[in-house]
Amino acid sequence: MRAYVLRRMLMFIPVLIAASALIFALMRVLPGDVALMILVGPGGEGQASPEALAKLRADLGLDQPVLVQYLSWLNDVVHLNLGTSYASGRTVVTELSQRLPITIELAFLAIIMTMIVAVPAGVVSAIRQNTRLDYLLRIVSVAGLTMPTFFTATLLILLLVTAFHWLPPIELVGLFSNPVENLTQLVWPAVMLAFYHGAVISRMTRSQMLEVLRQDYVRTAWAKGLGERLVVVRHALQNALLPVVTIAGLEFGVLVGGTVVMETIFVLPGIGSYIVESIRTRDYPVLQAIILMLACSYLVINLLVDLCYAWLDPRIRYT
Amino acid sequence: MVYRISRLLISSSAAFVLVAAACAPATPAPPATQAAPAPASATVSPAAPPTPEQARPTPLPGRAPVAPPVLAPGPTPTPASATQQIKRGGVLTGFHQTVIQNIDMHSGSSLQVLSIAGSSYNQILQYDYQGTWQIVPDLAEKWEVTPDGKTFTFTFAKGVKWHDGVPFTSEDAKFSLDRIAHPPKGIASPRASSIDSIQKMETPDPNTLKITLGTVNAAFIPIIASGFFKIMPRHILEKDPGALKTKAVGTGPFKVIKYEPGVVTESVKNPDYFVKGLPYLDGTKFLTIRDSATQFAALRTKRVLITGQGSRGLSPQEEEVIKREKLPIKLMYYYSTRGQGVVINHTQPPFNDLRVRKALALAMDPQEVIDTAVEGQGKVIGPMSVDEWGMPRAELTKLPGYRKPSAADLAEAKKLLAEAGYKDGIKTVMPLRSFEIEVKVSQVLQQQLARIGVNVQLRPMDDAAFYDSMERRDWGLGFLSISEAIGDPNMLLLPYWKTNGSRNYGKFSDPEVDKLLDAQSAELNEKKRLELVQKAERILVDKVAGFEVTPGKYIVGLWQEVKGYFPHDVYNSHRLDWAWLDQ
Repeated sequence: MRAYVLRRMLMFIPVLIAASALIFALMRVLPGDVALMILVGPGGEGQASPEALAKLRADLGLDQPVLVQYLSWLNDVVHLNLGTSYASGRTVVTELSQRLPITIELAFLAIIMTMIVAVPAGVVSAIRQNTRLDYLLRIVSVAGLTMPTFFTATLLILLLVTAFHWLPPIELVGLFSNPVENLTQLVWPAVMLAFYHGAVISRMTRSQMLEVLRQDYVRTAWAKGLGERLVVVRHALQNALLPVVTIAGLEFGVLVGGTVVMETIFVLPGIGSYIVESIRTRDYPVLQAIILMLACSYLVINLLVDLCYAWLDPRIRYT
Repeated sequence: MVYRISRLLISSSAAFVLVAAACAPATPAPPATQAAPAPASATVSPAAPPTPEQARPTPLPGRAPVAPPVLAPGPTPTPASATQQIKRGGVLTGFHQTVIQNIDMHSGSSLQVLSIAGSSYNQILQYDYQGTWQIVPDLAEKWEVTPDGKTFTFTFAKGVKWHDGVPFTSEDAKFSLDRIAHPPKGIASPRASSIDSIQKMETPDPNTLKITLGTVNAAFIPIIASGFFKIMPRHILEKDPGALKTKAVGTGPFKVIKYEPGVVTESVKNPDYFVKGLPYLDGTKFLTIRDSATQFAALRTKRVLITGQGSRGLSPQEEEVIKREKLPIKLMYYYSTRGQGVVINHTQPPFNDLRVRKALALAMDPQEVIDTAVEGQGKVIGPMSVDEWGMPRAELTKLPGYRKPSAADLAEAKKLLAEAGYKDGIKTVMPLRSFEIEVKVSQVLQQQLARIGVNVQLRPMDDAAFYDSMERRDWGLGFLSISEAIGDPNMLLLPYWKTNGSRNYGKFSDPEVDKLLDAQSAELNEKKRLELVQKAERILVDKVAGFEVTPGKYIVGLWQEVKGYFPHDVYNSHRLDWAWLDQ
């Protein structure tokens, strides 16, 4: 197992190098002049004379050949220097260290809520296939899948304001400085995210359970007179969970990448909105660092999911 | 077991609902239903004196504004009336709508930099907070100008200190203007060209600054009185030019104690503010809220007390909700200094042909745009988009491009296109930013131009791609929505219409217009300057240099307890020196 993990981690290196080259090229291909954006500003209020533009481009190193810029950046990354934001002048690490915890906390809350509700819902739906309970749960999951999150979140805000004259807190406080206030703010977007992601997980769980429940060994277990809990949880669910875990891992990766809509509506300064803001301002160092970080996190999550398989299915052994 | 799982499912869902409901307080009492004063919906315009509700409260001992030699037109402020007793204390809350990473006043390009940290700094002069556009003292108690209009001598107030206790001197003012005009390495200065007429600056003593211009600039005083020309500390920025990108150290009435980009800006009153008795508030707190529904929800639930402050104003629908629910929220209105405009590419066919441009003008109906795209919340404007300087409205609205086109106009337009060789029509591309208002306005324009066979393909894009496209001029018509720091011809005409102006994206060029724009910039006599400006504007209209459609109309909402704050434009409404809370 150790050798397998080590091999997988060594494979990260070429993948990350390829990702870095792709990210860098994409940033340079995007239309838009970052120096012009800095001078003119998002609203176009500033003025950009040709002299000022040339000076700023030189200051930012943008007048260098692209290959030189890439190698210089790669060299910095290898030395764990993710660069400085063009917009704020602060290091990318400082910026990410403020935003990442919020996104990770939201992602964890959302995925925990999702798994707690969606997996049992999928199981019940499968066991009671074609009953009223099954139909109800499927309607709810279809609603979760089809209603866009910006719609449900905005509806929620309107409902709270109109019916209760109340809005969730919009000033973020740290989890450790005031856990109650922090959770009060985060529980709402987490519920909205769980509504969507839970729909995906519950449908996958249901379809996997239906397939597994039809297997001969399950029929044998029933025939032997084993209790429902033993058959469903011990025999069926454990086998049905493998693809569910894969999907859950992917969903978590998406959540870690930041959910722009939730962050915008619920006033959360997380990674998602920061990515959008950085794209808008063409803040190359920030974008390159975040995308590289996300690529890395996907690789790690996939590795953890694969390791989970070995835990769930004793037949799987990595060497 | 199924029932146990179902019960577990139901109980965990119920638990979430209970947790979520517990996280909401008990339904608070609805807003007070006592007869609230009628919202102050009087338009605050330079021509109208403040209404009684907006009358200046009894000033505490301190400096009263002094009417200086004013170069910009405007009425004398109404004398203060002792109608209300000011209350001290309280924290004013509001929101910003954009994440601003850089709050350095000289290099920050977004106007929201002003609302974040603008109250921490002073300028040499300022615009009167009542929105009359009178220029009044700020750091400078008085100033003199030589008859030739080239040499200004500013005398600064005594006892001014930076927030870190270091005394302010005229060297700081000199340093700041020099930093704007000639920024150091690593600092961008979007407004460098605004004061490039400064030839020399001298500081004969710590309270005096003498500025000599190389050429006369009639807008020099209005420009340095505008919000962005803050005086910043030399003793900090000389050592580290980037030191004030994420914090603020000024001489202003408020000190920024917490600045988290995209989260919150908190300020507290400066107890050592050089204007004794000010400010009245204990502090301010501005949250960053990007979603418009959440912004309005925050106002309705009193999480914030004001909108505006450089952020978006309320929409007509939100205004309607406030009036319908009789919320005790005052509404105030003002127009931005510029607005939506169509930029014409004069460098290549077909629009380098005057006949084609005249055809466009004959088809345009700005009032239809206003009525359709912005629900009547606008007004027809010319290239000089501020009423005080523009040609008389009665004259403007009779001209093609600014009046309702008749059938004869449309026929004439098609005839002109045919004469120019475009009998079968024209296809062109219009880049625009993907903001809702810009898309709406340009869609109406698209339909209007289609009536004469000009097919415009709209190309919404994000800011960076848009400005890149504008620079590359790979379009026939462009859409530009912008505002300027002050409503002076030097800001509203020179950059846009002078040959090689910094915002002359369409590369319009006319020697007569250049001559008139230079002449008005050097003309100190207001009446003569106005004549020159209007003459230039007439040529711009006649040559169809471009089209201005409507300025943005801002609707600002303030809870009724907010007093002493009169937003009047996006760049000069961030100062909260005189604001107070009637709580």
